[in-house]
Amino acid sequence: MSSSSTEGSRLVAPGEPIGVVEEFNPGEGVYVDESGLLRPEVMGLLRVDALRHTVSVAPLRIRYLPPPRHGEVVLGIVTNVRHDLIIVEIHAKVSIMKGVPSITGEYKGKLTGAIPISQIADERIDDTYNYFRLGDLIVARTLNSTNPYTLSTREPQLGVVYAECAKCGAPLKPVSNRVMQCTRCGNRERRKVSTLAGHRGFAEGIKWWLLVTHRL
Amino acid sequence: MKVEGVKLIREDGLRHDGRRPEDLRPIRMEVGVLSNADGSALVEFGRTRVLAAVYGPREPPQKFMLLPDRAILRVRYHMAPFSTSDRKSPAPSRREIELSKVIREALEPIVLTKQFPRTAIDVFIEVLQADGGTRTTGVTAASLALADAGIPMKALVGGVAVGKVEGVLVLDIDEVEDSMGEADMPVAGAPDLGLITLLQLNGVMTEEEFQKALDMAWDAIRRIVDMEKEVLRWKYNVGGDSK
Repeated sequence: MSSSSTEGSRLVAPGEPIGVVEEFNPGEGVYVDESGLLRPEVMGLLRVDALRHTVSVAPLRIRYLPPPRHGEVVLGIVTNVRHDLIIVEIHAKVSIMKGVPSITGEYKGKLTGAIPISQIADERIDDTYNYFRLGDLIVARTLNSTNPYTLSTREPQLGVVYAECAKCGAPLKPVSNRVMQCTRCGNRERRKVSTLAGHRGFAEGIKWWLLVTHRL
Repeated sequence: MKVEGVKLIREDGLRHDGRRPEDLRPIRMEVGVLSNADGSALVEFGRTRVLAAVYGPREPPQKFMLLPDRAILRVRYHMAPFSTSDRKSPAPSRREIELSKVIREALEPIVLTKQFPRTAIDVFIEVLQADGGTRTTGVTAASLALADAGIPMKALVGGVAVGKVEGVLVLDIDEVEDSMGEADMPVAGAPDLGLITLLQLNGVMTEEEFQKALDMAWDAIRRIVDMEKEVLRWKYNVGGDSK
C-alpha cells in the first residue's frame, strides 16, 4: 500500500482544524471550509498520506452503508411488474468473490430501483412477466448513483436468486437460465435466473436474513 | 411554579442554588445510549435531562418533501408528559413545534446534507426532565447523537442560555431563574467555526449587557463542545473496536 500513517492513531472530532489546503488534499471524511482549512466531518482516526499529500479521516464505527454508487451489485425484492419496467426495493449490498456471493451490508432505510425492459436481458423481451414476478429476490447492478436507481440484470450472474411457486408457494429451483421449477408440485415457471441462484445456501441465506431483519 | 420570597441573588452574590453568576450547572453527557437508533445521546445540565436519537440518512414514506440535491433534516423536540411538575399534555404544543424549527435551523448549517440527496435525517429530542435550558441542552444532545451516528458534519455544536436576574447576568439559568428573572437568552453555535446557529432573547437587556451575555455564552459553549469531544473520544477509545 501507499505510505500512509495514522499519525499515532490520533482521534479527531468533527470541525477540529487538521491542516490547510496548501499543504494537503482533502481525502475521505475531510472537508475544506471557506478559509481553506481542512476539517474532519466525522469522528475518526486521522490518516496522513505523505506520498499523495492527502489527509483523510477513517470513521471508527460505520453504522450504515452509504447508498450504492454506480456499478455496485445489490439485492432487492420485486415490488411491481409493469409491461415496460420492474420496480425493486433495494435492501443490501452483495459482493461476489470468485463466483461466491455474499451479503456485505445492509442499506439504511428503503431505496427504490427500477429495471427498464431494455436492461432485463440481452434478448428481445415480449412480456416482462416471463422474467420477473412479484416477490422475487433478485441481484442486480446499479447504473447510477442517486436514489431512484436504474438497475440492470443483463449479466448471467444477475437476476432472480429466489422465487416461490405461483401455485403452491414452495421455493423454486433453477432448471436453466430461463426456467425454474417448483420443488414440491413440479410447476415450471419462466424467470431471468441468476447463475447465483443455484449456489448452495445463498438463496436460503438471503431469505433467512430478510426475515430476521424484518425486511420481508 | 411561582415561588415567592426566594432571593435569586443572595447577599454573598451567589445564586439561589449556590452557583456563582458565571458557573454552569454540573453537566453529564453519554453517547450511544439507545441501540435501535443510529446515534443517540443523553445530556444533563443539572436537573435538565434530555435524550436525543438520530436516524438516517434514510428514505421516508412521504417522498414529496425530499430535495433532489441534499438531505432534509427533520427535528422533533418533545417534552415527555412526566418532564414537568404538572403533567404536560403529550400532544406537541405550539411551543414545541416552534422549538423543533429553531433547533432544526441550529443544526442545518453544520450537517453536510449535500452528501445524501433525496434522503431524510431524523433527529428526535425528548425532554425527560425540564429545569430550564431544554432547547440548548437539546441542541447539545442532538450534536452528540449526530456525531455518534457518523453523519458527516462541519463541526460539533453546543448550546447554553444566559439570563438576567435582579440585574445580574447569570450563565445557564434554571427554571426558577427563567420564570422569575428579567431576561433569558439561549445561544447555540459551533466554536470551531466561530458560528452562532441559534440566538434568541426573551426579556430586556441593554446593548452592553447583551454583548457581555454573548461573551459569557460563547465561552461556555466552547467548554461544552470540548466536553462533547472528550465524551466521544472516551467512548470510541474504550467501547470502540480500535486499539
